[in-house]
Amino acid sequence: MSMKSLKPESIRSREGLPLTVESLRLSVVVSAHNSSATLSEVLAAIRSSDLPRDAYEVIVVDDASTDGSVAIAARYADTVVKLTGRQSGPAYARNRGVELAVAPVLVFVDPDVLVRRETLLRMLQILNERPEIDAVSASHADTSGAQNFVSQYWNLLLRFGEQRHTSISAQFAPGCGAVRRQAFIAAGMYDEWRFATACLENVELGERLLGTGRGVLLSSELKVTHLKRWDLVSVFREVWVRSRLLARSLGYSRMSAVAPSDVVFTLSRALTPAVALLATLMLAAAFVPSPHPSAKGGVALLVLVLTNLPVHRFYASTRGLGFALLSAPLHTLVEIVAGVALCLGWILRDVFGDVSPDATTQAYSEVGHEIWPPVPRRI
Amino acid sequence: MRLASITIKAMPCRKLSEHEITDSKNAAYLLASYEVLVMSRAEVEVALVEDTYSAPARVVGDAFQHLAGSSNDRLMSLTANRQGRVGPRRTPRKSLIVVLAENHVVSPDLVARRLLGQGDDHEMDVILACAGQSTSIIALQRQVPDLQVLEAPAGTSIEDLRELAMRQAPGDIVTLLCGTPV
Repeated sequence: MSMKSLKPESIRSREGLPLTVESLRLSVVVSAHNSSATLSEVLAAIRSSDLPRDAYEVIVVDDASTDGSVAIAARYADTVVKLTGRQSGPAYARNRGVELAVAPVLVFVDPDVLVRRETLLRMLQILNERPEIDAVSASHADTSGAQNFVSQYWNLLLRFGEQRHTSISAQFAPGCGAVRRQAFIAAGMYDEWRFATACLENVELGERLLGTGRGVLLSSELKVTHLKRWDLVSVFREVWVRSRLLARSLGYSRMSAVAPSDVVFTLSRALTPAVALLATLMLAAAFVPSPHPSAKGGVALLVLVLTNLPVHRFYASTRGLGFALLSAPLHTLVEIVAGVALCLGWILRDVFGDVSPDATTQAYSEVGHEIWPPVPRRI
Repeated sequence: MRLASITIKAMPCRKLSEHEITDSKNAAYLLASYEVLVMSRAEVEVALVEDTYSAPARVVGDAFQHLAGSSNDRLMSLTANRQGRVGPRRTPRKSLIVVLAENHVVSPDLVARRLLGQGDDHEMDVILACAGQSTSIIALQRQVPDLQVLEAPAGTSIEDLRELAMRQAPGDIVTLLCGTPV
């Protein structure tokens, strides 16, 4: 219909209400891609929040799903954005959601993260109580939604990093985080140009927020449950992509200082003493006449276990000794993957430079072609 | 998906008072028309269950392919017109879904405000999804000449109405607005 057929003055005069909802305090943005398995539960949890219903809006951005996520989103959301074509990534999708959001505080929730009834309200309260921060993130709960061993291991590994570094940092949690809208816009929003996949875009945003003088509080009080079911392949892939991108695009040393709780640092922090200790032992072994290969391997594994003792102790204290013993070999493998990926990332950075979108996207961006969905923006 | 018994109702006729006819807004209303898509309980259930995992655009297309007679042609062309702007677009297409459960109403002014909030440069499809006959249709039609009405059986839940309406919404950005209890 044509908007010209409506008369604004007559409409306003009848009821005298403003066009914007003043009671709106939060805009909850959920970006979803083929998330039908968990989306319904996640959105229902948001709608069950302690906040009054008119205090928040729910915006779901569907990132080219093919599994009916849009239909699920329609059951709970106030606004649904349908992105077509190929998947653009959560950074891009969340930015599209923010463009429609009107509340002064933005909350980003992943489509596989279950918030608690008090989460949204507490986020709002923390931001009100602490003007020195621009954003607050929720931590991982002690248990994950999926009960398989790998999911529990991964959830606890992330939790371990978070509980050791709860101070103000650049760690804007990927699962659930709230940020002041003004600060988010001023920081340049998510970097949709470089982060086409779900990886480190939150940390990179957190670093920019920290650069403005006010950082992100990683709250140990706020906990959310991650429903994603992890298996060996998905954990290795996540560690591989995350470590490689961190070394290639963000800079290991810089990010280690501003976001020490990230899982890549949890994994790689133990690698340096492990390598140093191994080198010392190898030097000492030179004086031992022909040691058996299994002895060499045993010593190497022992070194890795020893340097990861805090992690294993954390597993033992939360899940028992059996779980800690079972997770030790897996943790060693994950650590090795992280180490190799970091080395590859450094090599790629030196050879090819930073990541950038494909040639078509770059060409569209150069031309400045106006199109929907829009071409990813450079910051 | 099979929605064989969907029927199209003509615009309901009623006598207008002389005052109403002379009113220019109501004169425009007389000239306008709107489509009512009536669904039975079984059709609602089939639509919700069978198409949970298919793309929304296709659902709408399939649904209208099963309409019968001349109404089918008219609505097919209408749907094609609404959805058929394939290819690159400069701006997103917008839809507004107004959901009215049984014994719920919506203020036409509230809908109009939402429409005006989109700015003058944008067109917006407006879909009213209601459970049973709603008293808000006529009032809403005065504000929104191109209103589409999706009439599900009385007692259909708000969530089901939202999902059904979403399948009809061609917009890239879809806003959902719920009515309030009478």
